Amino acid sequence: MTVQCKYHVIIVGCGLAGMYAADTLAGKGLDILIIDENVHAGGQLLRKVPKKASWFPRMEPDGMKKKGFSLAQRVKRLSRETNIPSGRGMERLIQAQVLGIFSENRLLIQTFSPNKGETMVDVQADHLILATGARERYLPFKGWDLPGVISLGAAQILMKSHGVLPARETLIAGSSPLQMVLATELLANGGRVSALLDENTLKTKLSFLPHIKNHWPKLLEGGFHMGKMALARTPMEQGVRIVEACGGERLKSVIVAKTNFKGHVIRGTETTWPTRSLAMGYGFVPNIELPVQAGCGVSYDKDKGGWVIQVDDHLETSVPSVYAAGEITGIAGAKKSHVEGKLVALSILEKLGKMDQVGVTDGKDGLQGEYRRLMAQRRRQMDYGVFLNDLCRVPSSAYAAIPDDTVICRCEEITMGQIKKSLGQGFNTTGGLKKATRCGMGRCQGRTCGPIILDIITALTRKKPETIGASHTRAPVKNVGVSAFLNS
Amino acid sequence: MDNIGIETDLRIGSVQRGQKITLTVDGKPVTAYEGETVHAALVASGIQILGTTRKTHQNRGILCGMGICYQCRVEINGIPDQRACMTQVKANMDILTHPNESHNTDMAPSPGKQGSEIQGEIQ
Repeated sequence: MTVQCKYHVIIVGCGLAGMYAADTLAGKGLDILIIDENVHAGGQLLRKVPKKASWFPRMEPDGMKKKGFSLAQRVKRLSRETNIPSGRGMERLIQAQVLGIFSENRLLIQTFSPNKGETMVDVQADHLILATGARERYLPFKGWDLPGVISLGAAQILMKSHGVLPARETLIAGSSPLQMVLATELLANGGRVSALLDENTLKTKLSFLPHIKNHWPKLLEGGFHMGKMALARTPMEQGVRIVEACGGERLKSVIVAKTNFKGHVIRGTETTWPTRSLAMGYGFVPNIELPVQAGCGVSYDKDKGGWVIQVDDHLETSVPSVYAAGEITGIAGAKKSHVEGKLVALSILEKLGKMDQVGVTDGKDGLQGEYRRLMAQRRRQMDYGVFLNDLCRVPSSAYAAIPDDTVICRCEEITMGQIKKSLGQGFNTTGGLKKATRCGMGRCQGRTCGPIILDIITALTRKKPETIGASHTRAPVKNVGVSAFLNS
Repeated sequence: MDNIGIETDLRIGSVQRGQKITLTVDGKPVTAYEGETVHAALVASGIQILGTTRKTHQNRGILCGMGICYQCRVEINGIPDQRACMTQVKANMDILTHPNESHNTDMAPSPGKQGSEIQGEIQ
């Protein structure tokens, strides 16, 4: 294939980081392409279905969503929505997947042509911004593959993007700030919450508080959600873990039990919650597959959510002219994505010699001052990230204690027993286990089980994640039909 | 409708919706609204089971809802393995969930399709 069109900048991911980068780069005479798998601009945080007026109180002290939605409107206005890129102006390629990044920033993209259907395009960029975001992390339990067991995010997407409740009544479990948000959203939309069961105890949560000292609006938001739950008399339990999701054809009930201070389940404390819908999640993992395929260096940091993309002060990765912004450089929430989106755009404008057009208004010391301010903000948000990732953390013992008959790799149907057996035979790296068992080789290409397997190996072998290694990824990094190749 | 669950309409009342359309799911009509994904339309009609697993033939449903986990694959208009959560509904879409099917669709073309429409998968 030959390069179909060239851009000054290509941005992969139209979430907060990608949109802020696009917004900062707009109006400077650059050809820009923004690529996203979804139709809507805004990524996972900014989803909104048109609603009739509501009396239900909403609160968001840091105002990031409000800012984000107006930004999404601006990006939509500034860019031309398309399925086939032309190489001119600012374009937003929707429902498209980047399958691989090759030398000289060439991107192979799968998109949908109105007359040909699934097809392939080949584009090139002088500068490439990767803002591929994050996904949810899981702690597997028996029956987590039953229909009716969904992630906290999936339940939110159903309501926020489509105005559909996951079920009349939903049980919420796991360890994630999304629990509270989901619970209040369910209540606001006329759904019921059976209970909110938190893996963490209040004591552990309080021990994380020092990290949140400069982020009182987030605490306020948490308190607000908790107040609403109390008003609705929703049962809330802490220090509770899911033992099993039961039901033959689909979910019928969930067995939970209390955990002790070591993070072990206390036998005899099991209780059963009948429910058709369980929403659970255990924090977030950065989507590093595409940058890793592109050759970007990674580092492991538990405070940043695991394996993250290494960047310098200008957010450039180890691959020249490939930049990373948002959750993939460390899980820390919306505000960090905002800051990094702007920072990465300024870095590129400086390289392009367009600094005179930047129009940094609020600084006496111009661009360098703006950099310093953004870097300081970034550090502050990273600090909040430590709190966020701590809040979601599950003790290592929980991964070690997964029963042998629990499915770990859902695509290839590999159980904990099989993984333990291979570990015992010496396959104690991510790559080794993959070759021995096929775990991580199915449809999702290890996106779901990869982080779980890393935690299992760490828990059972006491090896450090750095020695276990990150998973290698190759193009195509997402499933693609042969017809896409045939049609192009 | 035996494949439709107990919870018949889970749509939130206060939401403004697009044009009302009809899909066919496993041969039966299901109401949907433009702008929804196939997944949302199925959940709203109480359909949680979206297929069976390849090896042990267990029922499967969605997990992530955002295109990551590939657990929600369904056949749409004869093309297998489309993610329900990433596909927008269109009027008269023909959707198959294969809840009781045991064959492996992973690398095989869907039966009853034209030879030119080879649908495979590269991993």
